[in-house]
Amino acid sequence: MWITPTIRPHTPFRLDTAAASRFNGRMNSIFASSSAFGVASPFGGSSVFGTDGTCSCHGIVDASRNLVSARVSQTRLASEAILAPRSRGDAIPWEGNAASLFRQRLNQCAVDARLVEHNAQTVLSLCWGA
Amino acid sequence: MMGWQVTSTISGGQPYAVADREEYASLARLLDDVAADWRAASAAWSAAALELAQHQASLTWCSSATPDEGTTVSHSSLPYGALIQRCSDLSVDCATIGEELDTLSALLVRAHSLYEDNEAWVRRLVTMTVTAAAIVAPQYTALGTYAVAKAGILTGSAAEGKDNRIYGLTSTQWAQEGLVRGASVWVNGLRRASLPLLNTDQGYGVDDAAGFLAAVTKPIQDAKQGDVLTVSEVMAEAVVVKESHSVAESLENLRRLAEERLGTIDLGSKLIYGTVAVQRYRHADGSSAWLITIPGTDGEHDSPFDWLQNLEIMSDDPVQRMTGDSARMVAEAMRQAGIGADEPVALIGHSQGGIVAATIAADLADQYNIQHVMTAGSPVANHPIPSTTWVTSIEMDDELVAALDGAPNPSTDNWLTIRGHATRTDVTSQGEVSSDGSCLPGNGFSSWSRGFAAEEVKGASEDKEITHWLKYHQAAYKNASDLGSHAVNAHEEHFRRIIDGTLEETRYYQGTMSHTPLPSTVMAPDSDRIDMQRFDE
Repeated sequence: MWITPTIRPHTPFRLDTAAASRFNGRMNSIFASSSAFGVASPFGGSSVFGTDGTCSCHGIVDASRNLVSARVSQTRLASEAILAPRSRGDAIPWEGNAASLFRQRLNQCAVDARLVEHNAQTVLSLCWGA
Repeated sequence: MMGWQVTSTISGGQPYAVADREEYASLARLLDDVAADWRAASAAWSAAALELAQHQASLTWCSSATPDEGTTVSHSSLPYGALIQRCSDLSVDCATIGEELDTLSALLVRAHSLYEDNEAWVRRLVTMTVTAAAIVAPQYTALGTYAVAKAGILTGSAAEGKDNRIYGLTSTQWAQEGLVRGASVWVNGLRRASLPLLNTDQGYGVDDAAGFLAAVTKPIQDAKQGDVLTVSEVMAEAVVVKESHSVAESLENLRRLAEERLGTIDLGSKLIYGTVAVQRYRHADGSSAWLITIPGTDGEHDSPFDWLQNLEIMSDDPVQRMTGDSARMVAEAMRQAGIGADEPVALIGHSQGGIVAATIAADLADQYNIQHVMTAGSPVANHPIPSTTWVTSIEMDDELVAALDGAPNPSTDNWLTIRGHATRTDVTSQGEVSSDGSCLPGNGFSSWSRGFAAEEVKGASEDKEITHWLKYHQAAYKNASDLGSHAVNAHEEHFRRIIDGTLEETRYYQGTMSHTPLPSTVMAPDSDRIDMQRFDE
């Protein structure tokens, strides 16, 4: 769409970044509150604190923890999923150099997956201050 | 230092049981699925890092806030910097596992040729399309081919830093069979004085065209070389073709003989061009078996393995094939060696030597018990080799020579084709030919470290060179045999059974072309084995 330069006033743009943000509805509700400066937040909203006097940062921190927790669960599932090909890789009738390498590296993948899963857990611990 | 490596794909040969094949395919799919899970986890951790950064940014407002007077407000936060870094690290770790699983899936697929049918279908489609283009619009096809070749040369030369026209072969490798087929249709059209029509018989007219061209060139060749073939047994002053008990060893012997007779290496044997080797192996039960080692074109002025002989032995006419100088020279060597009609014979040949091997197997099946033919870089798809004879063909995808049959090799239980693709790599093993002339590809460490994705070509040039040299076929076979393919193993085992036992004798025969019968100038241990003849008399 071409915008013709004009001095004629036009309809104001609707600046709703929350609607366009990557956060889900719950997060949008968090950002729907105002900034701590008491001015309009870039995320919209008009109030700094909740009606119960708590800061919205609690919601953000909770959201961060939930986010990490979800990723940890996803990683755990992926780590568990690797066990099936590993056992089937051991069982298939395949011999030779490449077969040995295949099984060794698949086993190593399973070990690496457990390590990644463990590291993911430590990230979650970090979220909870452990 | 840079060098070259070869990745092999396998087609044809003994098929898997349906259940086994489904098991491999199922595992490959499972690996792909789990790899996708890890890639998704990687993306999710990466997105999490970004989201946490957004959270951190939004908390900046909070931590800077000054609560309203009289209001007690609590705040909370997280070590976002560390969290974001850890999420990014996890994203990388997950991606690494996903890539590794993808690599393992690809190895499994390649080892068991699970995409063989799809690859063959695509190749057939491309070849048919190029053929049709070459028939309908030959000028534009030639122009397009020139443009693709030129682009390949320019791109490859720019990367290499010097002019190298071999890249033209690489960039047009996908079209070579179709172009040969299209050109053959035109040759046949000229021959029959009719409009070119696509010949859909087994050879698509390529062998027909080769026969036609050979009929034209034969008088020229005879005028130049003469038509008298002298086949003499010659003595080697050093061992060139050693005892062999595997395909790899036989390929190495073939390379030694090919390079020794051309003077590329010097083993001190005094063997020269136009020489083949015939070996007798004694089985444990006392029976004999034979291995014939046939190098390729040497281009010498009085050699039966000169250039134009290639046309004759690619003909669709069996009489014309067997009057080819190189074919009749090997046939004569086999006769002089005293190979019995029932004794198992294996033939191994490179380039023209492979075509000769296929010709002998096709046309002397009634005289000999040809059980196995090994070809390296030979266009033999159109040879009517009996289905009882096992054929193992090794071809490089951009060597051009193997594409001159204009067709893929038959994909049958007894016909296995290993197709190699060369790529640039770091050199990890020494490239020199060792003191005993051995030049076996790569080494165990090199192959393992590459995950058997490719086999290093030992002794390869740092620059791109034509991949028709045997060392590339050796690397292709090594990579294929490392894969543990059922089909390759079966062919290897069949070949080994023929030459099982102990080597009893190795004889070398040299062929010479002349206009008149030659007095024998080469001493052999038994004068009865010296023979001079006109094959067509």
